[in-house]
Formats: sequence, structure tokens, C-alpha cells
Amino acid sequence: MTVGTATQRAPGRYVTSPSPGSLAEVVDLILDKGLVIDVFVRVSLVGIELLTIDARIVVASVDTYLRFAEAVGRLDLDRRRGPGLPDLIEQVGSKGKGVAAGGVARAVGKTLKGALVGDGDDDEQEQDEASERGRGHDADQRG
Amino acid sequence: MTRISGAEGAGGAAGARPWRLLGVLRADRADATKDLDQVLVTASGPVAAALVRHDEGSGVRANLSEHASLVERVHALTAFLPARYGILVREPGDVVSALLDPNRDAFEALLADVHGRDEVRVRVYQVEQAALEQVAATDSGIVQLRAAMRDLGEEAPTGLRLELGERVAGALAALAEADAALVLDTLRPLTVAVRGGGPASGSLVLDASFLVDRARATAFDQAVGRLIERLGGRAEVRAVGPLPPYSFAEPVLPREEAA
Repeated sequence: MTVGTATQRAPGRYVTSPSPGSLAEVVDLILDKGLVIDVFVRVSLVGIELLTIDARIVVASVDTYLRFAEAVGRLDLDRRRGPGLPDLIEQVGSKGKGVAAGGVARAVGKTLKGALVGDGDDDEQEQDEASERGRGHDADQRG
Repeated sequence: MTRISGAEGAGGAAGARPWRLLGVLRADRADATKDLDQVLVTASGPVAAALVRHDEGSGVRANLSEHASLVERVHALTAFLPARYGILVREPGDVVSALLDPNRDAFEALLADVHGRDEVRVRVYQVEQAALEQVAATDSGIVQLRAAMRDLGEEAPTGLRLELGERVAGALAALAEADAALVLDTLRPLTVAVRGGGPASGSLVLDASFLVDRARATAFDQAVGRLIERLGGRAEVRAVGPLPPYSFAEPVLPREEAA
């Protein structure tokens, strides 16, 4: 999966252009930013308010600390690509899903996804994008 | 004064459907939108509002897409202050009395601020694996605790493991904060204004919008490239633009007279 479906990065450029008509990169701007007139009624639509949730996450949990301790304990810094590293990557990749930060962010991503589902049949890329916001550490996003 | 850009007028068959505000532009640039059939422009003195019929039956996603697309198109044609999605009025005239008349001066000033400029949104994500490797190699406290853990092996008490984990979490947070500051400090001088910032939460360490003069777009882009190189693998920089100035449509730009 790359962001190429929702953004376009010209060769030699680092700032990507949003694809015309793609909501992925602008949906929260459209809903959270811009001119507002309080006296006018905002469109009240089920699901939309979910998009403005502040997904602040409490990370300071014992589980998280223990996971970090385990992960860093298994780092093999002396042998840069030693046998411990693939294990660790695998472990972080799978166990990480249970961590508060990633887990909640993904859950919010799914909620965003849900809010936009059902109004069109070409939602796939936006849905993927919404989910990906919660796991920005995926290096392969930058296609 | 109301000028109807396209074929679909203010009255007639559309009946009770409300109008959705797209944003505000200069009245003398209203003609720039004449090819956008569905857009209606209504003016009050030097400023004007762009509106579109709101059809609830089209569905949320289609309406959001239409809003984003029309805002992009007007922004490409002239200085434009985008409206947040969902501001509905019964009649175009309502927007004149409630929005344009009381805010003429502020809108004129804001439109001058965003003229020839775009929003570029920059988000920075910490890449946990690379960041972990960095703090484990460079933080002396973590180095010592790791050594102690290694000596004790399976016997290492939970308290020690918690101490190490807490230390790692703290080091990652400090690294995230430093990286966010580096990005902000590097890009801010190339821009007119900044909104948002960091650190945020989870792996997202910075989410900021910059107002960039088009004449400096290339310099900004190159600076983003240098940041990506400098941050190595420990942070991913994701910059998207040019965007309509959603984050700069409210009167909060630093102004001399406000000082």
C-alpha cells in the first residue's frame, strides 16, 4: 500500500499533491477548519461528529512500559542485523497491535472509515488512508 | 447584489433545498468562478460568498467530496477563504446579513493575507523501531539498565523492567518533541504563518499547517527534503499541498495593528 492512490508526489519533490476529489488528506480540514458561523446550523449527520474526535491517547500504561522494556532488551545493537532483529520486528509488528496508542488510533481509523462507508463504492483508498493515519510508522506508506 | 454563476438559479425548481457556504472571495473576482455552473456568488461591497445547493439526498460522502472539490477549484482561480463543511443557509441573502456585512474589513484583510499563498500540511510520525534503536544506543540510563537486565537474565525483577520501559517511553517522547521542534523551526522561516503543532499523540509527533507563498514553494519543498534526510529513519515526514487555506480562514494571522 502506498499513498500514491490519494496523493501524487512528483519526481524530485517532497511535498505531495492531494489527488483531485480525494477526501483522504482533507476530510478533517473540511470538518475542523475553515470559516465558521455559529449562528448557522451545521449539518447534523450521524457519524460526522465522530470525525472530529480528539483521539488523544494515554500511553503511560504498565503494559506499554513492559513492552518497551522487552523490545529494547532484545535489541542487538552490536550486531546490526543480527538474528535478534527479525524476531523483534515481528514481535513489535504483532504485539504492537495490542498497545494503547496503536490500538486506539486504529479503532478511530475504523470509525472514520465507518462514517464514510455507504455513500459511495470507491471509498477504498480513503478508508485505507484513514486507517493508516493511526499507524504512521509504516515506512512503506511513502511509495 | 447577487450574481448567479451557473444555470441553476437561486429560486425555481430547487425549491426548499438550502445553500451550503463554500467560502469567501473578493467581489471583484466573482467572475473568475463563472465556469463553475453550480456555484452561486453573492456579494456585499468588496467581499462575496460562494455557495452551492445542498442536496442531503446525495449522501455525506458525495457532499463532502463536492465541497472539497469546489473549494479547491475556486482556490485555484482566486484568493479564497474556505468555509468549514456544513454551514447551511435558507437564502443566499442570509449570508450577506449574517456573514459578509459584519465582517467586510476582516475578510478583506484575510483575503489579502492568503492571496498567492497555499496551505501545506506537514505531519511527522515517529518510526518506533528506528527510534527505539536510537535511544537504546544513545541514552546512558537505558544502556545501563539494559546491561543490568542482561546480567540478571530471566531473574530480572519486574520493577527493573518497568524502570527500563518507563525510561524508554520517556526517551521516545523526548525524541519526538525534539524532532517536532526541528521540523517547525526549519520550516517556519519559509512561511507566512503556522497553525497547529506538536507533539500530538501516539506515533504522530507533529501535525502543523503552514501558509506558504507560491514564490517560496520550491524552497519549502527542498527544506522538507532536507528534513527527511536529517531525520533518517526515525521519523516519517508527510507533507501535503498545495491545499486551500482551510487553517488560515479565521482572523488569527499576526497583524501589525493587532500588536
